[in-house]
Amino acid sequence: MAIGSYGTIRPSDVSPEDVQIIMNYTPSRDVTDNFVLTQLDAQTVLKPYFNNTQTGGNAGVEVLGGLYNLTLPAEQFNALGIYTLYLRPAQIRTVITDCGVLSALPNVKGIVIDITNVPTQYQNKFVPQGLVGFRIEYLNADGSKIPNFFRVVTSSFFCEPVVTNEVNTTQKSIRYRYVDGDSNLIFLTLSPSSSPTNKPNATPYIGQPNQNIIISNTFFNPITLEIEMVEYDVSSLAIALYGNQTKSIDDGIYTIYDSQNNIYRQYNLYEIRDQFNALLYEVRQSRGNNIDFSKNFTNITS
Amino acid sequence: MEDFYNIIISPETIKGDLFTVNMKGQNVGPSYTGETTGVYSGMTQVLTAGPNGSSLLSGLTIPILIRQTAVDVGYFSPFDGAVLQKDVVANFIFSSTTSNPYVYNIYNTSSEFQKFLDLSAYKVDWGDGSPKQTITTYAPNSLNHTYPTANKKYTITLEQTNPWGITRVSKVITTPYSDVVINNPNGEAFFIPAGGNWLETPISYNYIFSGDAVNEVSAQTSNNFTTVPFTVSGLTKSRITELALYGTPKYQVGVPVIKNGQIWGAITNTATTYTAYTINLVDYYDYIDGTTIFFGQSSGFTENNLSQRPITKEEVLINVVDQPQIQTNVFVERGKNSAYERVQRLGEVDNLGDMINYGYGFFNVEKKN
Repeated sequence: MAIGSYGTIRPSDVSPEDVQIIMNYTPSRDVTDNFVLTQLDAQTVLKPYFNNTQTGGNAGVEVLGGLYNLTLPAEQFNALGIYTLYLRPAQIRTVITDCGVLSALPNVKGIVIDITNVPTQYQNKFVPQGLVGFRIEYLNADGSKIPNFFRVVTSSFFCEPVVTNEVNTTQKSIRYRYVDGDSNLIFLTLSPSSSPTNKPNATPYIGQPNQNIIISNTFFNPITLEIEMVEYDVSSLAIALYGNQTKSIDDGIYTIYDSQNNIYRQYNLYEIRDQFNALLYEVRQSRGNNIDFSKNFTNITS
Repeated sequence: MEDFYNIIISPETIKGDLFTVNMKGQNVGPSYTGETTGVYSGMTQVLTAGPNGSSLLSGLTIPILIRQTAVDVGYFSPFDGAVLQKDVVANFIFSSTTSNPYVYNIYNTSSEFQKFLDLSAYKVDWGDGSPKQTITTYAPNSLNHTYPTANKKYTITLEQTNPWGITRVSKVITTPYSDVVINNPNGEAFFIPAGGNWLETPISYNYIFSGDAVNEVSAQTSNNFTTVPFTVSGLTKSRITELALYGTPKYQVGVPVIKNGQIWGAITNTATTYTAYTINLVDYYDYIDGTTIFFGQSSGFTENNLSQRPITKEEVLINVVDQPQIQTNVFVERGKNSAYERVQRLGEVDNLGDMINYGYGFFNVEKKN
């Protein structure tokens, strides 16, 4: 019997265009001061999986959801070390054109954004209801970010300014009304923007005209990936222990092979004796890159 | 950590690129197709054995899971607070048109301008060397200015002089004015064509859902909704008691039953195996084995269902899923007073059905042949 609960975590079907990938590289965990912080092009390296004939959805049309493939570009991932990838919602940086209320509904207040102040690649989101659920964060005049503070967009529609007569006087004020397109202004209602019932004169801050803001989607949860490029792992040690081995009696070359019978390591084995021919040491010395290719396992054993 | 993944990439996890030197001592590049065994390479060699010391791992990819924690932001209503933003000291917005692209309008949206004109004085510097223009009245609601015919940027400055000082707000405009062109309002993500199993991946796809904002039926439904109503059918409980008449016979074929001044329904057929009737344009069939089947026609959403209104959150109701609803199987018997029972006044009796139903037989309506 169902208990009426519901899940709030869903596989995201975010578009790569709405993702920003920050990469941090450090060669070792001990030299984290010497990091490289850069950005990868999400549209190039991130691909969503789409359904195919085996997965039950519409092949090549319906995004699978949740599962993505991330390419690690060879030009960036070219050294041993620790790569931390930080995937976060893409940030749209713009400025508040005005703060105002709706003409027909003066209780509804919000911010007005001029689309011409929005970076071109993100202007297509500034359409009616295209920004619902987006998060707005604010910058101070000195460029610093107001910490621990955000608002959420609850609606967005094209608007235009109108003059509305006040009820009791001859005063007029600029307000906004919704229009169907053909406007470069968009009116965003935010949450929270209404006063708490126990303190009606406390207005939540929704921004100021000319204030720089960061608008980001909430299509997915930010994640971090730590990718370690290592010289060897435990499987490599298993090769050293359990792989095929040969020892050439004539020249003392000792060879270890991996599971594909590639030469894994080659050593020279020899003894050191004193002038009385007494054995002092048995030595195993790595040949490094000086590989004797004649010690091919297949040639030896066939 | 749920949103943290650790992935180790070692020579063993990329076996296809395991060796960089073949058994003849030749370097093995990405396009090498010869000797298939060589010298096992550590990761350092793999990452530097390509041309000019580049990495051999040009096809290194990892699968990742991206999730969204979706939170319902609550219950929405058109009303959200009643207080104006206080921080609007001095501000203006501007607009223009493509028909007169060198004429710019500015609207003084300053808070003080709306309320206390006497305390503040406003001047506009149009930024093209023309004299500053003083704003003295509320009408017209905007000022306009014509700029020289040239492709140029100007800085418009609104200057507010108030008892506490001078506040200036500047904004840059470009002449001639041009409309914002949104190339693809639905947004389009492009993918680099790839081979192998990626062949089923499209080259691009739209990812912004437009149905939330387009107040047209076609945007809310599939195309056949508006032209061809479709049948909705299923099993239900019998509703024939709702078509019972007063007196005898209790049920009559073809006699409409009136409720609230409207035709509620009628029995259409009484066959040996079933009774057919219609209530509110839905056809019901009561079969003798006790089952009831209904058939209705639907057009999905119609224009009447859709209205556009601003959506803001009523925060006091956050986390409230819906308004409380009363669902009950208790029926109010006719003849009893109940606050929920509709009371029809005498002046509202304007048709035969009302007369039949009014006051539980108040009017003695008799059927004459």
